[in-house]
Amino acid sequence: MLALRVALQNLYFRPVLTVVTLVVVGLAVAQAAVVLLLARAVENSLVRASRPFDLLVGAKGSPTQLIMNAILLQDVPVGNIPLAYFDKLRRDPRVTSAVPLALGDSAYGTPLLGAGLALFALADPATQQPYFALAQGRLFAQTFEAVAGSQAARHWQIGDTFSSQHGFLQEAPGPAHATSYTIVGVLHPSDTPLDRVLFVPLDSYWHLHETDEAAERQITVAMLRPTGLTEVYQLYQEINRDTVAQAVLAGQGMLRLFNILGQGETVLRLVSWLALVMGAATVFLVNYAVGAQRRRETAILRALGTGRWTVFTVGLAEALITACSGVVLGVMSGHVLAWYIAWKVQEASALAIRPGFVSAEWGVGAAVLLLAAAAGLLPAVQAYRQEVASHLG
Amino acid sequence: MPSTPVIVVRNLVKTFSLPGTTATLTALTLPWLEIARGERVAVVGPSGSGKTTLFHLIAGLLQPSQGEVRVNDVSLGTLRERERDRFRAKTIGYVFQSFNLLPAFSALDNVRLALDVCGREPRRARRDKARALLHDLGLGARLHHLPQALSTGEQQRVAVARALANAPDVLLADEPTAHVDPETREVVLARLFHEAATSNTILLVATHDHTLLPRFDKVVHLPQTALAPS
Repeated sequence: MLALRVALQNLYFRPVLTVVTLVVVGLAVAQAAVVLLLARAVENSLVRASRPFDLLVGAKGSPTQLIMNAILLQDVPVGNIPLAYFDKLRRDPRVTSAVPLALGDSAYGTPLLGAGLALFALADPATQQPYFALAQGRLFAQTFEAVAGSQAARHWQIGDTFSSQHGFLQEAPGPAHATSYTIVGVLHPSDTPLDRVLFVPLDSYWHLHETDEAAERQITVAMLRPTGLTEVYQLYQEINRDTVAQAVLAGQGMLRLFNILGQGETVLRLVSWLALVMGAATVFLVNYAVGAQRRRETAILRALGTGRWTVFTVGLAEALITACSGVVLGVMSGHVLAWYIAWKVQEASALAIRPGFVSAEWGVGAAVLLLAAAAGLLPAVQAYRQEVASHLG
Repeated sequence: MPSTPVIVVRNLVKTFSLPGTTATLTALTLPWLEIARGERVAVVGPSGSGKTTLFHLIAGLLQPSQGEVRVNDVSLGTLRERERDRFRAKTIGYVFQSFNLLPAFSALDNVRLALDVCGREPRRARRDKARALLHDLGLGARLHHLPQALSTGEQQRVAVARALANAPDVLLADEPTAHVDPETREVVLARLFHEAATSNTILLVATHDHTLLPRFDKVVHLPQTALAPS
């Protein structure tokens, strides 16, 4: 208790050194916490985002681009596939549900998704809860009606009308189409990037894009839900053998995407560990720098009758108190920062990233305390071994 | 007149080996000294004669190279280190030449710390006692000031209050008047002599000021020390 009081008083007495050490340790811990929290949250978010999509079928090309475009609404569409090909897949007895999607238009930066009504019937197999449930109004029933995803509904409300533009990317919208859409409904959040789209009937998409009546109708992506796991792989292989389209397993594709991101995460983890070691080095340097003051203080405490173990504890307690406070500060600011980044990412991509506490944070805390204890050990041992009389004036 | 010796010194020698050489320095030689309860003793001698060393030996901060120091009939050399720490906390009050106040602690906390280390008083009474001691020494308005904010005289008085805090059997004051103005000198000496008189405490004062010597019951003269090859 006495040692703790002396240690606290000493830290309070040199506020600049204490605050600088605390900030360095705090920043190191915050960085590690942000990397850990966001890595887990992004992984969870990607898994959540891919849930409605079992098997994606799109034009031949890059599978990653198909995933990026269809699920994450990033990048440009790979291309289109004929509606007739989709109809063939829909009629396949191994398919329980098939949803056609058309991408490529936007309205004032909000992507438009042409979709069949079957999309709104898609439900989580475990809970039977629909992924895209209506919160207000109704689903579209005729051409040029639209339903807003929960995030899109921040800018649009029921009754609003808008004209779409060709072009998917906000940075480079194409020319505006002449006909206007009217919003008739708003959806609950689905925790997928589709929350930021305006859902419109496929007919509207075709209507705006067809210049020739005889032209073959096309879609961008088909979402297939096969009857079972065996059927998933059968269809996956058959479609990929065709020359018309490619099939991508949404879950696997997302995992591959996450693995690509993981390479960056590995580097960030390494940087975080280095930062933690530097934090501990700062604790050591500060403890060591106040050596002369500590030697005198140790001598005075011993002269008053304080034992060796008490002065040993003072040295160690100062390092541990600083590290503990740094860990608390770092974890708190790490969570705040992770939530801020998650919010910004969600604003930009509608990926519902929710950083929660991860058990690895305990590991970071324990590692910092261990490093700080090691850093505080040398001054503590010096205090323990110090000869008293020669340091008393 | 005091009679029972509380401090007994026999054939005391303290030598230090000098770093980097084979020579040793005999810092103190004192064949005999007995001090009874309540006695006021001045220790005089030239600089380097071993006054501070003698005080450190009596406080158990140093171990004799030869001879023995007994306090309250206990030979300090026979005590284990932890027992010497307890002995020091309970039995010795020490006013250091350079005060040795903890710079991070206020005047009040410096005095309270001595009470905390000793642990004799109930926790709640310690603060009140420290406050009362500082009030008695005219520092009532400076309780919460750090040592660096106090004048030399005020620091000296805080050091005296700390030394008196645990009502020690032995009060060691190493040149307590060397750095203070005459007014503070009188306050400090008056408080030390008052404590010796009222609590029957032994008062040992190292001093160069020979005008003070008539106030003491006994004067110990220490000779100049010698450097000798081992």
